[in-house]
Amino acid sequence: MHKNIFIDVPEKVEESQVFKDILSNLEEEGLGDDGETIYILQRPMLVAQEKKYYEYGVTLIVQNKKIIFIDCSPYESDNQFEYYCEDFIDDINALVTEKYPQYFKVLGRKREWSNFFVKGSKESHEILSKVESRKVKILTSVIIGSIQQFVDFDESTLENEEISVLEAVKNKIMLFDTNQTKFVYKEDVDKPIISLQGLAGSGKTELLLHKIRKIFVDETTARIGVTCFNRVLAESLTSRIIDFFNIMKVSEQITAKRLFIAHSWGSRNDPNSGLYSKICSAYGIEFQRYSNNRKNSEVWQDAINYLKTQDFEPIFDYLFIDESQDFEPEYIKLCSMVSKKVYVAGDILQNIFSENSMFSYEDTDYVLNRVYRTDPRTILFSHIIGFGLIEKPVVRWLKDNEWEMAGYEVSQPDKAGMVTLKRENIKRFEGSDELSKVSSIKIFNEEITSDSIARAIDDIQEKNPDVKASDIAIVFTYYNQRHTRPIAKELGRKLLSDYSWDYVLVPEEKRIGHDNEVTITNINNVKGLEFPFVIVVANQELNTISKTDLKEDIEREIRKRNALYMALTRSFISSYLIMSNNNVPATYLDKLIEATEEISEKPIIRVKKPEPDDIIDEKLLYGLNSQLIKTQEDLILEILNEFNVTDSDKRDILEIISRKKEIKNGTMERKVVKSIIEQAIDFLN
Amino acid sequence: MKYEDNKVQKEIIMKTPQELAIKYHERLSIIEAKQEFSDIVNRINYLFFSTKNELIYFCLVLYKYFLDEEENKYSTFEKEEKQSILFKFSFYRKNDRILVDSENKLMSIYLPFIPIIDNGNRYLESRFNQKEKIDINDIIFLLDYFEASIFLNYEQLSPMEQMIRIENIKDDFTRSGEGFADIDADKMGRLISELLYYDSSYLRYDIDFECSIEIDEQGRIIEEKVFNHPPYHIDSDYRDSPSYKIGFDKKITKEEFIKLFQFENNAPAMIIRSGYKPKELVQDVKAYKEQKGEK
Repeated sequence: MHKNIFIDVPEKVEESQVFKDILSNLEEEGLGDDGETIYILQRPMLVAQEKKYYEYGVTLIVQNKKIIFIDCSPYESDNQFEYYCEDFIDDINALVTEKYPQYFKVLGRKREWSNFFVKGSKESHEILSKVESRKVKILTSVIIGSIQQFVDFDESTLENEEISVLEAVKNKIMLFDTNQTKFVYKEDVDKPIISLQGLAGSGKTELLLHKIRKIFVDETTARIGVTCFNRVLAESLTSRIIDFFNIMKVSEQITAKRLFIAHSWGSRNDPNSGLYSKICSAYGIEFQRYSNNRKNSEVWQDAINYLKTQDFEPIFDYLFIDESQDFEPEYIKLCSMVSKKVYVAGDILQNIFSENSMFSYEDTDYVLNRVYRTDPRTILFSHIIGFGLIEKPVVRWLKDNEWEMAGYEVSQPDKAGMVTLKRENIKRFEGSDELSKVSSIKIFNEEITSDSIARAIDDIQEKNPDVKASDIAIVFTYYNQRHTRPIAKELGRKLLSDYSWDYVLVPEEKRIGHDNEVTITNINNVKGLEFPFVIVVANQELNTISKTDLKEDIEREIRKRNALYMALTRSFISSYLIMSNNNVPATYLDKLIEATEEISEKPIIRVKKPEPDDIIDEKLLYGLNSQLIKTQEDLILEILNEFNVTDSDKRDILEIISRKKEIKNGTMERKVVKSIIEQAIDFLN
Repeated sequence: MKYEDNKVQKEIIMKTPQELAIKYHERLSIIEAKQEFSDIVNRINYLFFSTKNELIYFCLVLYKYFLDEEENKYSTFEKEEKQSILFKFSFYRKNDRILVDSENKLMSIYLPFIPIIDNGNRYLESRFNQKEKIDINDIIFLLDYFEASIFLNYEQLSPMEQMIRIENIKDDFTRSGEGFADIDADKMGRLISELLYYDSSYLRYDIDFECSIEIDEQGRIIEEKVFNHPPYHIDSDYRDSPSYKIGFDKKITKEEFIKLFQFENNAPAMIIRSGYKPKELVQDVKAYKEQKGEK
């Protein structure tokens, strides 16, 4: 069956000739090939099951066309079909006017939109205008339960035939595709741990929100827990849940008893500050603080071992873990012990680095490989970096089914051993298809200064005159108070003086940017966020990998590539990468620039399929995740601890060594750092 | 050192009540906390402080501007009138005061740490121990601590519990922000004690006609109210209950307010004439009321 068709009809309808004809017609006409999902269903998803519909009635929704009611009955059906059409529209009207009044604001009264529904059988109907198509899309979202929040929605754009790219991004209407609808409304898997894997930008988190809401409303006694790695993520997720519940008119108050949202760790004195602290307090496990000297996995294992000796009841009915790739397998195991059911949602490609079998291809229950946020060329490029596809050795070469899971089409190798990697060009928002004329990814080979970052901003402004401060995020791959902050501050002053834009420095202010603010941030704080434009500043040294390098060095390099992948895929429209020969080998940088040229028009690249010997040993990749990047600061501290330096001396030493060029360039070579520290200690004595 | 008239256009607390509620709701539900915090945030952003934590937080915000050399941060904005100035602040080393100047309000408080500009380098010095230099990282940490303190009342905790809070913030910083790894928790503890130790020496000059107006049955201004709440007055404390008002017989300028603090050697002190009930004040209140009526 066609992959872009979502079907939810009774069996007898599926067996009917009329229905079979509909399917074959759709196939013939090639509808849905642009990546937009076709829906064939009997009832709107959000209408209570008690409400019955005519058993042969079916509604067919194809984007850019009117919504069609079809009678699949083999018999003459009296007035049943007429009633079906009326009931359907009435129920939609109730949702629009009563349940989700934000829709009433954009759609208006029934008479203003009911003419987008027609009765018919299989004949195709006229293509609608852009204005009409938008309204059909909005109606579709009510029917399939992909409820929009319309928070910053500008209704005036709804009536404009032509809108700018930025307007299209800001006012886009997201529809669940087949997999997404199944996950939220028609879950067909019954397992204690359900794994939902998506690429960055595939709408995972939004989907989790819908699922959480559904359980919260449908099962009034269920105890639900939600967690993600760090405080920043947990706070932004909490905020999203509050706003989402508000918009979705969830009447019951969110209390920690029913819906517990916290980051993964927490603190000893406040059991509600984190999931681990909650578990410790609930079962009387001794709480351990985060420490540089002890592996997180050991901390979780201690808790698991303790629980194994106890007779205990789960404290949750459902536990949701977002960005699961950031967690050690032990953590997820611990979660599955304290909850009846666990949903883990993570990034497919980062999970491939995990030795946890629940993330394997076979064990993933829902795959979301269609990326609605980011341009496919940007995604391809991010994978080129993340997987080291143009490096030797290659960091990671996927198996055929894994490539498919990641949304790729891979050709057979030619005589020279070259293969083509291709991503589908899907329609992400109105006008996104026309963006292929403009590069979605650009590398600036320049020294990292506030000026080079400003040049990227100029480029954005030139192509998008209506760009606002809040449309741009600047992401430093390495944020350090001593080295990066001065550049960030200088950039901030430039934004104020040259652009009249204010800014927020997220690593220290720890808040979301306001309307007139450019977001200046780092890897740890940008996860889960999205912006029309992203400028990634690669101010961390990037080295070529050799198979003879120390394990620790290889791991570090892979993590840096992973971090770049994550940061680059935050954009809706385009991503900029500022890299310099000062800390990236020139040959590698040239290759990356070449790659951006090759993919500038289409998300297709030819690369050499590596021989098994030219791929990094899988064992090295296990347990790697993007979060635990060992920073230069960590390395310095490690060495300082070896020297038994006092806290107050530490400050002076850090001050002295921070002026050294090698340190500024972010070197992570232990030998180099150690000798610089030794010199500083000598100087102080 | 005089460090004058730095224009600030950003509110003191930039986090939204929702962001704060998520972070600090502890004993309340997030929704309740959001409502409660929203009032606190509004009050602070209007420069009405009611606890010492809030005053300290405010000082730290000013220190951050100072250390970041951002006194002229918004100079271009001003030209384009994109954002109006919310307040101006000055540091006076002579008698260790901060002066804050906003619409219809002048405020002065004690300068807890000593701001130093040495050969273009800026830093702060502790008064307890002048060898203790305080840099931007320390201030960022302290801001975090006192922000939490405003909403969670850390001052009510035992010193041991306070130290645990400091360790928790340190954990958070080391986990999520790079470059904070050398935070010295003991030093933070000392600086927090120091900030809480000093009296804030708060004084606020307000121009407030609204509260001076009370009308009798004939619609006339009641004079007693004018002298009970003089439209040009000084509040002696940031807390309501111990505060009392000292009125002026006319509107005073910023310069006159500054003179109260006797910056110059041998500067004359202000002398209060007792039992004096200036008629002009009643006239001013009447004029204000009539003008308001016309609008």
